[in-house]
Amino acid sequence: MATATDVIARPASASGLWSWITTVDHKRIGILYGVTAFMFFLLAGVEAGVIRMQLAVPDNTLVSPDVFNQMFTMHATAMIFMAIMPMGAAFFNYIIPLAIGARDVAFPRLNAFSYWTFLFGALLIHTSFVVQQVPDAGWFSYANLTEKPFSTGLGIDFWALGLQVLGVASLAAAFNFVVTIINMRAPGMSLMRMPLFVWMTLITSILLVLAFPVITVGLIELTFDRLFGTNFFNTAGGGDPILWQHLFWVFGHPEVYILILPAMGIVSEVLPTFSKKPLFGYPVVVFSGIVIGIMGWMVWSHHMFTVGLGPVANSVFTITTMLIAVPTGVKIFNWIGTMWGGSIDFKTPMLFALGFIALFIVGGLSGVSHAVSPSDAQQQDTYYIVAHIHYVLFGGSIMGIFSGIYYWFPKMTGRLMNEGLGKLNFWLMFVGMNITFFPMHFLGLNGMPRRIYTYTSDYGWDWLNLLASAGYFVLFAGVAVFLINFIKSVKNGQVSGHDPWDAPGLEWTIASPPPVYNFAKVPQVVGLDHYWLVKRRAEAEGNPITGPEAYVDPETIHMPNTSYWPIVTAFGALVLAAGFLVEFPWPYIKFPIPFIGGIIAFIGVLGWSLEPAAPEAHHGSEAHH
Amino acid sequence: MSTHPPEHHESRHPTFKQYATIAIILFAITAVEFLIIVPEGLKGSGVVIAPLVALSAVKFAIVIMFYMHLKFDNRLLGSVFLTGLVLAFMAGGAVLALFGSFQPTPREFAAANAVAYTHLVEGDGHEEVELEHPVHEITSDGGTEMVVEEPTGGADLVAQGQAIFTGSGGCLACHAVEGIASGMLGPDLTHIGTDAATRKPETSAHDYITESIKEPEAFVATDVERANPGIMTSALTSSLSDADVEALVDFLLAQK
Amino acid sequence: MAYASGQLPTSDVDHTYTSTGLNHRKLLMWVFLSSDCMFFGALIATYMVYRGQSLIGPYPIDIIDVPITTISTFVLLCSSFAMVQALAATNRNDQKGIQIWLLATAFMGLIFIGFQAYEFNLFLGEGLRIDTNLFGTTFFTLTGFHGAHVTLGIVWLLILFVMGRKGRLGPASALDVELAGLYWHFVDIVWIVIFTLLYLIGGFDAGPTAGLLIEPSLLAFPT
Repeated sequence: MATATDVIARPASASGLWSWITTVDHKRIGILYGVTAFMFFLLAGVEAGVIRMQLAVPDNTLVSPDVFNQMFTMHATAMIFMAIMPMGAAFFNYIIPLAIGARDVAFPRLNAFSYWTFLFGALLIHTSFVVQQVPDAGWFSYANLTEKPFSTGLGIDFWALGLQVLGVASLAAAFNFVVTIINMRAPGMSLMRMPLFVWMTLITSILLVLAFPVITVGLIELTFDRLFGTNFFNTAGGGDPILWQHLFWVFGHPEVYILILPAMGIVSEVLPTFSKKPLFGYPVVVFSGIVIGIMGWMVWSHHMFTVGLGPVANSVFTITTMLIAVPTGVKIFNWIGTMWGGSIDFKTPMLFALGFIALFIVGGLSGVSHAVSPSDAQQQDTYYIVAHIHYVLFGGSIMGIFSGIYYWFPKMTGRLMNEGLGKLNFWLMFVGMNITFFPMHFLGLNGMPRRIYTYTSDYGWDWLNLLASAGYFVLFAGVAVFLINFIKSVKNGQVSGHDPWDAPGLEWTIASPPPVYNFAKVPQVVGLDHYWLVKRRAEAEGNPITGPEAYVDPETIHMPNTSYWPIVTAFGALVLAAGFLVEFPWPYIKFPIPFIGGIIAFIGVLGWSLEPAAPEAHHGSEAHH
Repeated sequence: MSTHPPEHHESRHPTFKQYATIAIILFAITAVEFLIIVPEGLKGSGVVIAPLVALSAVKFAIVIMFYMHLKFDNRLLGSVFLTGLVLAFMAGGAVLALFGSFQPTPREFAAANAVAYTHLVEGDGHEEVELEHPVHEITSDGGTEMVVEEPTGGADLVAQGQAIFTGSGGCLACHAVEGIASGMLGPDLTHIGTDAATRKPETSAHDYITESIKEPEAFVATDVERANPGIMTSALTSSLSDADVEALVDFLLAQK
Repeated sequence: MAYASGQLPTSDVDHTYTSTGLNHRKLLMWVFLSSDCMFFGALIATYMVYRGQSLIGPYPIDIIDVPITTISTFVLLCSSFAMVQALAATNRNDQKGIQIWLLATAFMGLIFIGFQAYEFNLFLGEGLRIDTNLFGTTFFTLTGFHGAHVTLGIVWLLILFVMGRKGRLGPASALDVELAGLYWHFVDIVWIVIFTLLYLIGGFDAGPTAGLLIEPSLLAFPT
């Protein structure tokens, strides 16, 4: 039937820039996420380089204190929100539908919207560099340093508004994956037959859905304080800066589990594949993930042990924080149990997974030491915490992500990454990471505070800092090797075939790269580690499976059409947020631009709703969100 | 009071009558809530909180279960919604508890001693911002002074002194007076009214306390717990007017 | 499960198959509402933390008008009733009923917003702005965002009304109306919480609570 959007033809191209801009294909969106996130990873890595070079020697004057503050703020903000989270999203996007036997996610246009909103939010925050008003109050921007009299200029506004846009992107993606995983699994895939990566994605998405609204409120309150003179965190008006900390960390703690659970999911897939043994204690690992997700809400004030909450509060959070180490430890034992008695194949994905386990244990141990509030009183705001953060996020999340890249690269491109370069990449990163961050444990316990732009020789921190800065170059080399490997392999990598690792997941049953429709026929899942069951049975019966699912003509399978409404709506969201950066001297409406953004977003949503999900109407479900 | 409308079994769609009944029940509950707080004595009293919350919870549940149809829908939907709802209550409740129960908030001290933003040192890159309601004024010699009305003198100097002790004077940050302040940095002043006479030879309690406020470095008592030289300086008390000091001394002399 | 040897097991479910039997969009709406609980929860927690902490007036007891707001609460409850009627009409293909009830719901929503606007104006006239004190800050932020939710709901309902007039709503598209209804009822139950906390209980808050030891006049705030 005629739609309002018939006036402008629905985009239909399959190649070229326009096809990427209007794509709703989860595989393309996954690639967009991955490439974009990696670029911000590199940028944040450069910022880390500036930090380490400034701190390499005492009394250094490489950058001013103000620029240093901007560096550590943007390094952390970019790494967390624009590198690790979207790289996780890249995998969710590409792999989840394949892993559950679906042809796409539940809401393909919402998926595209979340990518464009992510890109626009990231660009918004980084525009601060262009106008030289960069956020500089730390990635957690504690009030009331962030209030107008102390942080003049637009830096904090860029941070708060950009983060709001990024938050919308994360929420949109999370909503999509919760529904996709709950509702689009192939027949036979009960919840307890889902691959671990799918489980961890589900838990992560639920955490996102529940945690982001809290930071949204915090950011709204901060923005209102800065723009409208409210008193949320302004003590002179009766407000309390501690409220910001509570709102931030109620979000912030689940956020760190959002950062680590996907990597744990990846490791839980890689280890069984390269040990040629099923995951040890699958139900227990699932249950531990769920427990981590739930308990993650009960520990946030361990970030506030030194704020003066009192001995009762501190004790309660000490206990809950120590308890949350238990399910993590359980997972580690299960991973070790998986490898025990297995036939280990030390390919690059496996090396990264093993590196994850080793380094995450170190990070977890330092974490337990800060769980205890009296010892945290010494460690808080020192480099000991910086060490912990980087062991769990670099040694944990990043290692896990790299494991996933090497593991799923053949599926996405049809080629294998080079093993020699891969091993070099791993060892450079593993060694470099330890050289850079292990000394920080000692620096912290010897009293070096965080977020200082320089120090004098009197403290005796000199050579450890120099060592840490030297480690940066090893890391740099590791990342460079990765890039070389990636680019070489995309072009000339050895052809991988559909199942190079003899892996158990559904995604390996189809061709590499997958056809646009993913599965020609909807699979019937026969058990946990489905593909292993199918392959082993086939071999036992003398009919081994030698190829992927047979290719069919894509025209015979209806896939969602491309659409430009997602990017239009995302643009509206961008204008709405960015509009608050420009104040007009008008009497009643100081910020008119957000209204324009709202109208664009509204038009986008309207067009989106009225556009049918398919060119021919399906059972009368026209309006689609 | 019955809150159960007629059961509907096969029909997924209740009748107009059933919905109307539910609507009337909701109205009735709202009316009862309104009537509860009509009596003057009950307005804002603690005793109505529980009934009001309970009635609202009932309305909440009725709308969710019947209007939003959750009672008859797939249980997964209910679990999904309940997760967010329960978490919101528990996290919100925890934040409230952390703000109230365990420790008096530092808000009073902060509000009393919040430094006006016009006080910031020039030349360090920060703009000066004028507060509409300045807490301090810049005095002619560049220092700052609390914008404080002169005490009206006479009546209840002790109470004024207490207000300054716990307020603009900031003494409570370091000193303790049982039941009034619990500072842990300096000496406990709970019985300073009697002790002061014995501290400095040939100095009256009144004079000793006055000197301790105006010129703390002049004399530091030995063998008094937490009486350490160099911590309390006259700079800390320079903004107090003579009348303030008078009131403080009166207050402290009353701590026997 | 029997499947051909050497082949991949397949199923023959059609494209409407879902793992739970639930419609994707309905599940999405409930997940969204769950998330929105956290959003309003954080705003309400902020209000509750700051109750009685305003350093200067006007205080709630000075300007909160419970009777008027009780009326607007009735209106909103009424609108929820109209919304379920709209859904019922959609299910029985009562085209006229669809339009009437959708319009009625939107109209009552507009009346509610009208009451909010009147109240905001009244408060502004009494000297309570969003930046006056903590009561103003938390009150306007919380009720403002709720009002924004209501406004978006009214726009949604009016769009549905227009679609109804074009004959595009009926039993086959009942989900569209149901989703709008779920959103609308949610906005109503959030108001139930706000009404109880900010008006019935908090509406009689007077001045700073006993924890605050400073006389506001000492701080030279003009009252």
